[in-house]
Amino acid sequence: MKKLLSVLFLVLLLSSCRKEIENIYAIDPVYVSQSGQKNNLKSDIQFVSIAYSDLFGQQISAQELNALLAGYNSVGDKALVIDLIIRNLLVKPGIIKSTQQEMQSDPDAFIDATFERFFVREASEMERWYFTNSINANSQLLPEDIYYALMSAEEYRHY
Amino acid sequence: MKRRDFIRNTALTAAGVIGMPYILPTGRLFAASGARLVNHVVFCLFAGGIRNLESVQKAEGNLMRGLLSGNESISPDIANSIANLPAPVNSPLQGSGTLFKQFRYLNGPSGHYNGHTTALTGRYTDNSLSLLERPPYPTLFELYRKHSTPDKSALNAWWISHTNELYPILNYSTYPGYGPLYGANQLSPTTFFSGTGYQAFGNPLQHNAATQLELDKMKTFLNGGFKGSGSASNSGISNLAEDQVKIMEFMDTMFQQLAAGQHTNPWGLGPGVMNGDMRNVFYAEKVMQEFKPELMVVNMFGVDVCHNNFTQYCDALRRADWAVNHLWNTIQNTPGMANDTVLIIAPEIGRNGTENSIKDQNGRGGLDHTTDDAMSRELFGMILGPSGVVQQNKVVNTVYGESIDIVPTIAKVLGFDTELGVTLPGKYLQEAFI
Repeated sequence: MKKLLSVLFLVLLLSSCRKEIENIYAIDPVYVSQSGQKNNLKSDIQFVSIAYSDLFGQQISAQELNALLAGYNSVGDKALVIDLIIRNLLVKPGIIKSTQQEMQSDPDAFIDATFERFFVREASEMERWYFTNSINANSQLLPEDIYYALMSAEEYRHY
Repeated sequence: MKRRDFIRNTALTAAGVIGMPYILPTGRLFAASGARLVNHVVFCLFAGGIRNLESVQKAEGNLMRGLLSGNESISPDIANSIANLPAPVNSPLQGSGTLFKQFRYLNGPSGHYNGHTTALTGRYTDNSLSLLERPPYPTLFELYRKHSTPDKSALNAWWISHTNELYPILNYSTYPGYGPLYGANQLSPTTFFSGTGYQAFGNPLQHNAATQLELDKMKTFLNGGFKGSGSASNSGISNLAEDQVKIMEFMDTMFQQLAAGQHTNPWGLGPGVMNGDMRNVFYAEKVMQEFKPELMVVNMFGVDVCHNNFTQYCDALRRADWAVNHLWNTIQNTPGMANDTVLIIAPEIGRNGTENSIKDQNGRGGLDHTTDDAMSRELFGMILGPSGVVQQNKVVNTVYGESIDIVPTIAKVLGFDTELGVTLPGKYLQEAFI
């Protein structure tokens, strides 16, 4: 009986002190490699909201959104007014941006980060080469200029 | 370099590089023009709902001394509640054209949007008209742009609306074969050129010519590689690249003037006198002076306060009248438009014959426009123009002319009536012309 109790105690001891396995689930960022996967046009509100978030890293306030949409609805040529919206957002204080020195010292990294930020995909080899070449050839280019080029491209109107 | 020149140079450089050769919508470059009476038409929708009783019948005195001859004094009970305006800049406009005292809005609901749509399409509407959708038939702007020869760019057609809600969508229709390709440049200036508008749009990122050129190359490169199947279908009307530059330059000028306080009281009226109608007409004049469009429609709306304040309705009527008088004066002092412009003025609807239960400070009852009664269908109309084109100082007292006649009349004046691909139910208002 004493032997049986010892075995039972040993079994209980081993089973109660088992190390708990912690399962962690996460999603790694996956960037599409082709712009062709974006087939849906952003609505006006989506466009303005996303543009603001992409630049400032935070959600646009209702007041600012209303001001931009009021202007958007006041002009018939939407391409023109969207260009104005982007240009005006790019000069507002608070946008998250690289410095010109950072951009020029490592254009590849800057291009990769900028494409991921605005197009939510990796830059293709061709795009990386083109933009790197352009940055190297034009010393006056600023990071916000590259942001402007991407944000005013047709791809940025889609998701 | 001046800011204005800077924008022009940079954007023009860009436009020159990236701009594709523009093929005008119908593919025609030059063709025989129709016989025109003049080269410019301004249509002022004296809107918001005005009864003939208070306008041409002068039941409260002559509230429209900018348009109508006569010194009939204003009813004493409301006279002290009405803003003191200086004398109109011009003599009464009826001397410069033809006044129709029995114009009609014959069919359709007596709502503002129905009235606007009728005036701008030349067709009466019914209860099926959705306030959230574009007109089902081609607008005046589309008819003008599609059927004029040679073809007209959007810079020639402007719709200056008093608000950026609802009415902007009247710049083009959903009718097959028409649409944004032939639409007007729509602008709601009182919203856009405001303090809020300046904060949001008045200080854009600017580039020198070389940088702009590089950025446009980048954009072209990116767009060339974009394989998405979606299209920018909600992009509205589209201007030529060089015209976009001109419009941005104009906007920049307006914002600079606004910031400098030059738009606070530009007509030198008393403090607080300049209302929304006056401001809308003021910016319409700016557009006119800058672009000299062949076709421009501008509306007003202040009189609709009549739903709950009859005295303020009379006050708004006077201010709107003063503004239209100023508009005609500006037309006649704008090189390229003076003596070559026909101005058409008409309300979109009238108002009910019987007042509602809302009394104003003077005990006057408000007026709706909901019953579609006879008085809500009685309008006035006025056509002004050069003496060799328009009958001067003429009054038509009999029932003549309808809202649906305005579009065919403008078509005739601008010479595209013979090229219309659609049949319009209205008629040319011959009585006004030589």
